[in-house]
Amino acid sequence: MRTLPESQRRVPWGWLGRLLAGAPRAALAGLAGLAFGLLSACAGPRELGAAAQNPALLALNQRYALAEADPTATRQAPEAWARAQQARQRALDTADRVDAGRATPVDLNHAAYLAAQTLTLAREAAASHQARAAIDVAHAEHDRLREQAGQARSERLQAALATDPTHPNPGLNGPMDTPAQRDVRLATLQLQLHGIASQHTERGWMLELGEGWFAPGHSALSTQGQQELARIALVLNANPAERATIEGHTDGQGSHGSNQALALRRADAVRQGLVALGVAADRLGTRALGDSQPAASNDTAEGRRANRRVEIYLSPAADTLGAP
Amino acid sequence: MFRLLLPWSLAFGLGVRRCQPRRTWLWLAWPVACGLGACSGLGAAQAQWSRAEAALRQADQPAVQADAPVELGLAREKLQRAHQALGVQDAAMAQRLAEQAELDAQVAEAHAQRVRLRREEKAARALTLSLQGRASSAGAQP
Repeated sequence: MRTLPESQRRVPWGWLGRLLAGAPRAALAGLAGLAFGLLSACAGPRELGAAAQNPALLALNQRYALAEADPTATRQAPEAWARAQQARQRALDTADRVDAGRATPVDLNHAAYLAAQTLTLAREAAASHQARAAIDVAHAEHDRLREQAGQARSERLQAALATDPTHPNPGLNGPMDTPAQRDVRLATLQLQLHGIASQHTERGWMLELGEGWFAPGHSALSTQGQQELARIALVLNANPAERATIEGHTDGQGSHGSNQALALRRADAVRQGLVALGVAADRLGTRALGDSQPAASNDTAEGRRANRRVEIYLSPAADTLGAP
Repeated sequence: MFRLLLPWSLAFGLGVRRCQPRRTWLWLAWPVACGLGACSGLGAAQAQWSRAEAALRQADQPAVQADAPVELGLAREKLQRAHQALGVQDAAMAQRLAEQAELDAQVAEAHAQRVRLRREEKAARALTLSLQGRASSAGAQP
């Protein structure tokens, strides 16, 4: 290696000078390169390197720009969003390393993929959070509506009884022509059915029965179901002018065909139970609705339990049996 | 000790007269360090593969299979390829594929959860409408 004479190599800067003077030229060049690199890094934003044009990185940047423009994505799941930003930063760092020759485009593609998937996770978390909040709001609304309906029922009942206080049960089993008489009949029925979930619909009194009456896939009545059925039989026997349409429902498990068959078996089981308790068979009709009219979501065990039910519609004998 | 190492220094082209014990140690240390590095790389890839396998096992449920089949399939495929890469001692490739498989499995799970919650939300909205309808029809009763 060619070296300078001693006189030319002497640098009057104390220990640093002596160190530099004693170092070989290649080391000096390396130090200078390092210093230049550091200075240029501190000087301000660098020009984008070739790695910035990597398609995966470009697509990633676009996706992040879209996510940043959507505040729900960033606000609903802040932790997941922070992880996504860290992953993106790692991808950008990898792009820098590719430009510096310290990483390969394969590394960059990998980092970009990880960042993209982390962003997907953040967006999924935000969407789930949003859906959960909407479900909570809906449940609160359900409670409010049920409470409101119960209140309205009792108000109607009181009003109906107040219209004819001397005849609280005027000819319940006789012909009912006027709306006032019909109200009284309904009010009386409601009193008799006290404790059994029921409500008045366009089709008559609907008794919502069955939450806990049936095991999944079975049509046999539970003990609780048999006890409630006995009370319903008493009401029907006390009001021979009332007819009942029994509608069987199932949860969403199983095929549509099997659910129809199961719903019919459930309706038949209730009908047979009522007949055994003395209700005339010709007053009872059955329908199978399968899983076509769920009362609650089939995605939860609670919802499925509520859907395994039978609804009994009570209507005057003159009404068409089983009319929808 | 130095005499024992002499044949190694000869093998690396160092003359006996120029041979220095320190330099010989360096020459010996290189292959050992490389070997250790390779082993640790493979070990890290193996550990990452185990993590990805656990994530996939957790995600591989009937609900996820039904609602996120594509994402789950992607995770399965990458985990299998990572296993193959481990088989041929390609630590870097195995590490990358296992990292991706782990994240893919998590995405599948998150996607399925989101789909399920959306369905529940839809059912809840339908029930709200139904209850509102019943309330208004009951309110309209004379």
